Amino acid sequence: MKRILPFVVLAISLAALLGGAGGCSKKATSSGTVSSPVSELPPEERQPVETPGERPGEPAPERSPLELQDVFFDLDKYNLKADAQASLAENARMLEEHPEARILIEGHCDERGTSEYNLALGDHRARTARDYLLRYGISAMRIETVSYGEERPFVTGHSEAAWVLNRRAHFVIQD
Amino acid sequence: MRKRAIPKSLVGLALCLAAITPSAWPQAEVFLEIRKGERFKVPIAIDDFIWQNLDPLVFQGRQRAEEILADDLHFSDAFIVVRHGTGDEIRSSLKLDMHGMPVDRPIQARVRGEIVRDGRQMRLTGTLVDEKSRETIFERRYEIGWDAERLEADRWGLHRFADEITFFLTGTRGCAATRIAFVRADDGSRELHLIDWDGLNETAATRLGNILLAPAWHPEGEALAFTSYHTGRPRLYAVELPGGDVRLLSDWDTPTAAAYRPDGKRIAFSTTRDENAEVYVARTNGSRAKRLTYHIGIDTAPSWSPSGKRIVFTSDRTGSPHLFTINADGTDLKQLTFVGQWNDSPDWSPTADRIVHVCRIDGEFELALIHADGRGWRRLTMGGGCENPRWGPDGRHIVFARMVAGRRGLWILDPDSGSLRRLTRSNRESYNPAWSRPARDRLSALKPGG
Repeated sequence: MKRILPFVVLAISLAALLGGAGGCSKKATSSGTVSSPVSELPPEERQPVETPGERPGEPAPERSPLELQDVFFDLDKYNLKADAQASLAENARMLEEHPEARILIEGHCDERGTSEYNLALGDHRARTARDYLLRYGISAMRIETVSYGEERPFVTGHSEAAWVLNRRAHFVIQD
Repeated sequence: MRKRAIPKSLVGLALCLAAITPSAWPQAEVFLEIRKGERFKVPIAIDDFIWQNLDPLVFQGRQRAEEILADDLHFSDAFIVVRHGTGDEIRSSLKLDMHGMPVDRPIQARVRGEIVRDGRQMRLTGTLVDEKSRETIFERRYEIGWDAERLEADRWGLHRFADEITFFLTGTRGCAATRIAFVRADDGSRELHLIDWDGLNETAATRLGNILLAPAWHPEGEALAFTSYHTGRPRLYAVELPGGDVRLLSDWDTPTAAAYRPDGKRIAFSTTRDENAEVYVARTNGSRAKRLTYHIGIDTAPSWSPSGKRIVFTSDRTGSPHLFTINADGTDLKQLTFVGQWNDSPDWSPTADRIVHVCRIDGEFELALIHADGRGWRRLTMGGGCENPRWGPDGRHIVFARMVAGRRGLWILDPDSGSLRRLTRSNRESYNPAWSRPARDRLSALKPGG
């Protein structure tokens, strides 16, 4: 037993060392400094930062998978209806829960109208959705937009049933 | 060649082209509500061509020389074409018969052609003769190219001959020696294609893949501007013609709806670089862009007046898309349209007086005309599904995309006569047309009396 005691102490020390390094890694910038606002506090006011799962014996709460809802628009409109705002609020909540996620918002139109106008209209739709998320507090650095106008319909068809699904802002989670 | 005066009888006929006769061709597809006035058409005969030192050639599109010329003259909507020799009328005249159009008026002019092989060169000598006096109105020579791979003769010389006939007899520039660019959808990718105005000789101008839209001709025919996503994001490019080299014009956000100024020295387009679509004017290489419009709504689809001093464009600043005009320096903004809920895709006529556009009426997108001063709004079509009308260089014909049975194809309309014909017959979607202007060398050749 005495023989293995030094190894046990060494293992515990190594584990503590590695665990400490791991706890800081998410906040380290590329230069290796800690960028959390906590580091700017006076030393006496600093409190250990608890992150989920760090408390001994507490299992990490499972995050729901990041799923974002598309929002839909009326013909030739880019204002957000109540259901679109509800979808965007839920998307914002999901993005807060997944702070590492970056997204691309695609603006789409139905086939009616001209290609040029629909390209601008799709751009407005994507930016309107983006602006809602920005107001919610999601960083602009995490959001890109692109318009596909009427060029990439989700549903082929030439009826209102197809058109209503094609007038959308579509959310793509980027790698 | 001795310069000859145009016989008075033909000049008189030319001046009568705005007179009224019934609509004609092809009735089965006509969905127009346009006014029924049609211009007086000049009966013209085409003699069989004479071939020296060679057998009659087959031209691109597997047509004979006389057929190409007859189609060009017929499609100009200025002539009743009669084939000499057999006395048979070609199909245009037969259609006219079916609908009561008189074809027994005397022939006013006669077209003759002689194609000679001189070594490796082939040359057409085209002659237009006054039927009554037998005087030669003009005689010109045109080179005929030969595609040794496809064993077909080039049609361009015949198109040029047709345009000169049209110009001499009507005073209006013909469209035969022009091409129409458009977007063709192939299995998820779109490419720029070119087609002759008679619907033949289709060729691909790009092989970029991905989304492509909104082509615009440089007035000299040396380049086509367009929006492409082939690098992932929409950007404005130009493809050189011939050759096919593609260069970037603008890497700003979502640049589209390019339109070259008629002198070819500036290009207008819209971009969302300032958060929403605004119209800009830049040099044709994309540099020194100047913002023209300032509004939080959508401003797009610019089209130049022939003088290059004003621009008509689409804006939704009043709550729905309408046409506005503005000076090229950004001053003197005026709203042009008030009818309908969605006016878009304007194109200013080369004759400066009219602007064609699409207008959403009763839920359908139709073609409409309005005078440049805002008066005289007129609906042209019924049936819906119309997009992107573009004037031909004659200021008389309009090419546009129309949805039929769930697929867009290109059609050509003469709004004053009611003549309508289908241009593209591919089973692929064809849309976003742009009609070329005659190049300067061809313009100078069209001056009468030379």
